[in-house]
Amino acid sequence: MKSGRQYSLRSALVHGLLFVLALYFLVPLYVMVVASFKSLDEIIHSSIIALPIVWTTAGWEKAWSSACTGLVCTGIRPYFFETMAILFPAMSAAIVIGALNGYLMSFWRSRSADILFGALIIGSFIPLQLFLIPLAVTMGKLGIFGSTFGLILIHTVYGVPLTTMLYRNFYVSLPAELVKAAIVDGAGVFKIFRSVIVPMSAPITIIAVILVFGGIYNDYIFALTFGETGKRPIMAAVLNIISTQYAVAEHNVNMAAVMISALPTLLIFLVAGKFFVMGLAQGSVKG
Amino acid sequence: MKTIKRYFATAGIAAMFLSGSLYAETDVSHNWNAEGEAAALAVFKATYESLGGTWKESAFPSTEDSQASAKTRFLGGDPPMVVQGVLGGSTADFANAGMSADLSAYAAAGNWDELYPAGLAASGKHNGTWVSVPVFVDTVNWLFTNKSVLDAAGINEPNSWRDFIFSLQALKQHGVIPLAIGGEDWQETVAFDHILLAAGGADFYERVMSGDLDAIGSGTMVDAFTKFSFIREFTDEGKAGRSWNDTNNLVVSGKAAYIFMGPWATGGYGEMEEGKDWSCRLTPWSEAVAALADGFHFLKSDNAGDQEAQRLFAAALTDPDTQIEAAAAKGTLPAVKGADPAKFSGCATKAVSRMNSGKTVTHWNARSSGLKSALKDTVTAFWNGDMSAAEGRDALLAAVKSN
Amino acid sequence: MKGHFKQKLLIAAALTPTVLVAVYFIWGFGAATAYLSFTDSGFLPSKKLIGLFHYQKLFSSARWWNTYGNMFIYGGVYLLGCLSIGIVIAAMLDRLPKSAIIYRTIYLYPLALSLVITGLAWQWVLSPTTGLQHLIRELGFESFSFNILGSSEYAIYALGGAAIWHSTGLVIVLFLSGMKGIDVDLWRSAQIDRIPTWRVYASIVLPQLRSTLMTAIVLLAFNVVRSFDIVVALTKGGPGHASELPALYAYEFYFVRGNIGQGSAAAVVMVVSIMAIVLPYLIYELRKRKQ
Repeated sequence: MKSGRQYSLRSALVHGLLFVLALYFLVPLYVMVVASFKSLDEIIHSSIIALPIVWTTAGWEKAWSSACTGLVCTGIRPYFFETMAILFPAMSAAIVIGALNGYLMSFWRSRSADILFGALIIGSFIPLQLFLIPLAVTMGKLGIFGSTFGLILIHTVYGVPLTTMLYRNFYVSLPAELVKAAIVDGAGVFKIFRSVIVPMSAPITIIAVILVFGGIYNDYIFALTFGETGKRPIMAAVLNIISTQYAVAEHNVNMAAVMISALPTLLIFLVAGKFFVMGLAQGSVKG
Repeated sequence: MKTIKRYFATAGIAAMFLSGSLYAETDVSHNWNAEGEAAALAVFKATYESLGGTWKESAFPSTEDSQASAKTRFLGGDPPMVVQGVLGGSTADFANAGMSADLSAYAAAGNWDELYPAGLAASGKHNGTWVSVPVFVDTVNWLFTNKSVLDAAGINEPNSWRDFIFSLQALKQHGVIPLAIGGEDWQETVAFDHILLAAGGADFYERVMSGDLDAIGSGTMVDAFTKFSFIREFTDEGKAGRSWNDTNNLVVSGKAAYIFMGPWATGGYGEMEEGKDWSCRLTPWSEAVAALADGFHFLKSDNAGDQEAQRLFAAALTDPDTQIEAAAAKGTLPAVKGADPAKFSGCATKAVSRMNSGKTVTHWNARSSGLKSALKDTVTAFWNGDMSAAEGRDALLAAVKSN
Repeated sequence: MKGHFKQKLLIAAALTPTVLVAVYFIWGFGAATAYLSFTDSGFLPSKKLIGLFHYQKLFSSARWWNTYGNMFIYGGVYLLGCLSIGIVIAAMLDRLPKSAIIYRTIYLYPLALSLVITGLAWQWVLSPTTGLQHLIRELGFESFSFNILGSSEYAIYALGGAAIWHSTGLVIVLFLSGMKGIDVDLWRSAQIDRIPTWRVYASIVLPQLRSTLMTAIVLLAFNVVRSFDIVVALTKGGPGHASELPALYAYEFYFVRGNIGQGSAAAVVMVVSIMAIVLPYLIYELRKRKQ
């Protein structure tokens, strides 16, 4: 009897704590959402947690299609599509290369492959800003500076370390017998990859897609410096719109722009979040 | 008939792309994000287009980002043709790095040496060669006042530093924010302009800004930092990281009484009447005008089409009527000689009369990047830290010496 | 034998693009930066060597030492915050399978947002004139004061707090999935022995999750070195330079101050310091795993 009461008290405590933490996690989102649906007048005079008195989508419409950066008043729309044009090719390339690397580095281990893996992972600790100047020179020599293709290449290059790490750690956890059996059957390195490994890679691929999608979509520094004039990717565009300095800052439009730019990654997390966790559970982190 | 026309039109467009090098498209890199600034840019764009150029622009949130982009694009072999910015220190930076275009031919054709007053012509040149085009003379040391806030507290507009301090105290007792300052280093340093003028006047300001170590290490500088720390208690606690427009809005909406800001702040007052509801005054406790030349740096390009675009854009920028119209849109003064003062209004008129009667000094933002950095670093460290006035002076002296 | 050689060649060919990435785009560029730190590079890169000049300047700059120290405060607060909150939440959720889904989603969503957006959102919540302080004063507590963004001492913790908000979800899901993989028999025997739940987690479950911990630390440490966007969006390094981090310092010297040499020196010191901490840990863990 006594222990039962203790137990329910404890579970109430746990729930209470989880609930309070949930509030901490939700407050910033709530603040942005309500602000984006207020009129400019209301933004100035009301408290940030107050619900809009009059709900309006004016901020959202302006942010999407008519907010200005400089003299160009197109809203976020064109930047959004430009981002997608960079994102999908770069993400696919980084994932294919990363999966192949991970496979070769885990099942066909050699000293040089281990060194390469180490070099990739340790190199990821170098901050990206330091690459800007040599990168600019390289892009210029290749003749792809400021082009969409240039940004695809950049994101592929700096996405590969992450995807390699994810796939390698995943494949290491798979039983080595799988590959050994296929070798006995006489299959070559790449045939084994295609017919044995790829079909088993769904869980980690979901994780890779989520992380790489977020990484490229949310990039600011490359977008700012290597984006083609007038077609810069979305995070640079959002900060541009927010920096458009009207004498009275249009926080409703700003917050709507922020919300619009956050929607794709938020949706992916909501839709694929379950698979994300399942994928992790299936051994990606058991190295 | 229609088909033939369409055929020719298509062929024309194709020809333009094929002969790419004759296609005069400019690429202007700028961070003119405020309403008045964008309006001014639109004026230049219209003239440029009427001359036959094709417009292209890259807008950035800040000068930092615009410069970072210009530099990486130059290294990548695709420089923007034109970069908007304050002339002076950065003109030299671009020129010394070998990035500047030689505008001598356009300058000769447009007779720029006659067009501009000597001081402004100098701001566009590096070692005697035209590399940048000045378009505006910006005066920076303004004190904006919400007059109804002053009226409510029973205070007259201050005419001396003493009056100003008394009014701050009265306003604080009255329960409003006496002085609005935003927590960014440039806003703090713009405020410091007025402090330097209060402590040592125009000549002292000029000496400090030209890096005179005697002036920087003097007792007058200690006095300046003392005054600076004194006004800190009359600012509000929400200043951290606040942008200038949110800060300015405190004054517009009557939550604060004063702000030190440049003429771009006028945009915020909308329908309110200058002289009645609000006022703009150049530092009342000095005769100084702290001014700088605002304009466009031209970067070198070997492409004939780019050069043609630069020629057209330079022509648009130096067209006196265009410049005057753009200046009016931005609330500032054109750089060309002999603009009719009747075309200006409000604050710009006051700037003209002060320039005629007072003493013009060059603002820190047009100085060498070394001095600019030393000043901004020290001012912001002092303002947000707990240095004594003497320590502030020593820190500035050390920073200027090492930069 | 011949087939074996051909196979090796194929593997080498398949890894070539990655070798190029590692050697040229990462380490080559890193070496270029290190080289620049010994040159007189100003507004543009230069090849003229001037020795340790930039390091001497860097080490005599009060601003740099403050910025450098900030990296450890921020990194420490961020890592410890994410890990401790994340592991505790994961343990709590691990015991509540049904209600966990909604909580998990709530804790995870900030990870979807960019650090730019994270900074902007927290800027709103923490600003004393619009955010929390204003709100509580409106409720009648006039003397309530909470102005962390305006405090030279504590603004760096605001950055840490916002970053914890962003990344804790990652730690939660990593550990949650790790805990799901732990043998149930352990639980049964623990229940029989009447060991308190928290002790089961502390002394039985967590030690089995070493590799999860390593993954989490590596992923979080990436974010620490790359912390640039969040500073730009939340504090802009202020008040003054009180909450500046090395990445922002290097960027400013690179592009605004026209002092590429000094910026490179700052970057080198930053990278070397981080590696001095992370490398021994990584090597230790990987060695251990191999055994």
